[in-house]
Amino acid sequence: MNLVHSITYWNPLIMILMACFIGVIIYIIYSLGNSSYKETKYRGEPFLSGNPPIDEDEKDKEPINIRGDNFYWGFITALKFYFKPLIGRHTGRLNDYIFWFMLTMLVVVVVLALI
Amino acid sequence: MNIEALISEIGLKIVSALLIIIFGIFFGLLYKGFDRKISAMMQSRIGPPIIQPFRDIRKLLTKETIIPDDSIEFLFNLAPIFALITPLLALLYIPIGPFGPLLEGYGDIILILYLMALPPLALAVGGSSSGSPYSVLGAQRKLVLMMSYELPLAISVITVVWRISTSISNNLNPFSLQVIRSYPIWDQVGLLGSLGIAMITIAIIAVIPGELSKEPFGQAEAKTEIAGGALSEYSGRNLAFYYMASSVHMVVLGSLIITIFFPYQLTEILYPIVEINGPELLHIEIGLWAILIDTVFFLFKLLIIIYVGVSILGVSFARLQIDKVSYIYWIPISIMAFIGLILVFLEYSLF
Repeated sequence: MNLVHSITYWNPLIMILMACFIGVIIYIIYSLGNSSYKETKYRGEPFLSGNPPIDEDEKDKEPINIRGDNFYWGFITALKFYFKPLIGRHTGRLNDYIFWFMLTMLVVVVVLALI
Repeated sequence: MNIEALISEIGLKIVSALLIIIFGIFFGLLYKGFDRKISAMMQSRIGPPIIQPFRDIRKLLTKETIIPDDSIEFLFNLAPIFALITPLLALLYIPIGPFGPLLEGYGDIILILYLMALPPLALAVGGSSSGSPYSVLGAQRKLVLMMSYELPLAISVITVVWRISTSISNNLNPFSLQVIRSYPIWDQVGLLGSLGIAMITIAIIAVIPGELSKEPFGQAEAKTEIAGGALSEYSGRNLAFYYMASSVHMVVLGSLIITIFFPYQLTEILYPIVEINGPELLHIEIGLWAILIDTVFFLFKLLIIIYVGVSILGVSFARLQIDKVSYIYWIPISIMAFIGLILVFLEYSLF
């Protein structure tokens, strides 16, 4: 029943069955909660450090959303010590790309030969 | 195997799984309380009572679960459940105290590493789906954090597994946690290798605050900076699940570190003393008392690991900038783990 790759192993069926069992227990914990709470007035609007909620008439939510390019900018900024040298290597010249390809191939071949 | 024996075995597994789940949630919350109390004492504050996390959960379960208008409701509600299921599932594959893994033979250490990567991913998915800028920022930071600490974690685990694989017979699987526990890594290495394993142990302890989003790597949930980050829109039962998930994740990580680096049982250490001085000195027999002593010893080791990896590091260091986090994990900590790997490899090759 186990999926075996090289010497590692995993049984997905048992894992899914156990996950379902844990799910049942979590549902029991969930049902322990009280559902007779009092609903708040401003439910649903995102927290904006005390700024007024979105105008219901305009429905313009774009200013408060983080777009995909902003999201990716965060990655590049957080990992800038890694991205910066890589971006520097992207010269746009085909010769450079072939050079890096050949160099990588050489390293791989040398490592394989040593092993 | 006849049907009666099969039913009784399945029943035993289910009861054991239930006990492990209760253990994980209970001690996760209790140790969270200890962490808060100890951290407060180190900062000359009184701090909350140790049972405060239980009160928090009880209160959160009775509160309204607010769902933001802009959120993807399905993902927003599913992510906390997923975040709680996965560490509890991982706990079933890890030895706890004197007991072997409940699901021994059905999954190895690689599976546990993947299961441990899922709660932070669930947090990132939940945060991204909540439609709040703070949450999206927190989710993005959590992903950066994950990319950073996975490298030293992987180097550490692979070094130990490889070294154990060179010491055991071919019919044993070095990826099995039961095998890793039965052949403690410190017994397999000499002086040079011990130095390497010590460096790897330090590297993996440095991974603890990153995995749990604690200071100095608490950027993803920085309350004073991004209002709780990925959790800023969560409330009520959903927040209670995230709270429990982080507690159980702490127990899972601690138990995994104990299994890999500190698998010794107290009774194993005491037996030679008993043999030399006579059994009447310590009335330890294989049975209930030995199980009890080893369980208490395991809980003590878990407390020490949480104290060092969460409380001391959290109190000693301020929160770092997010770009410093990836640098610290990828350069100093990964290099330290890699030097540990080289030392272990050199010792095996040369001596």
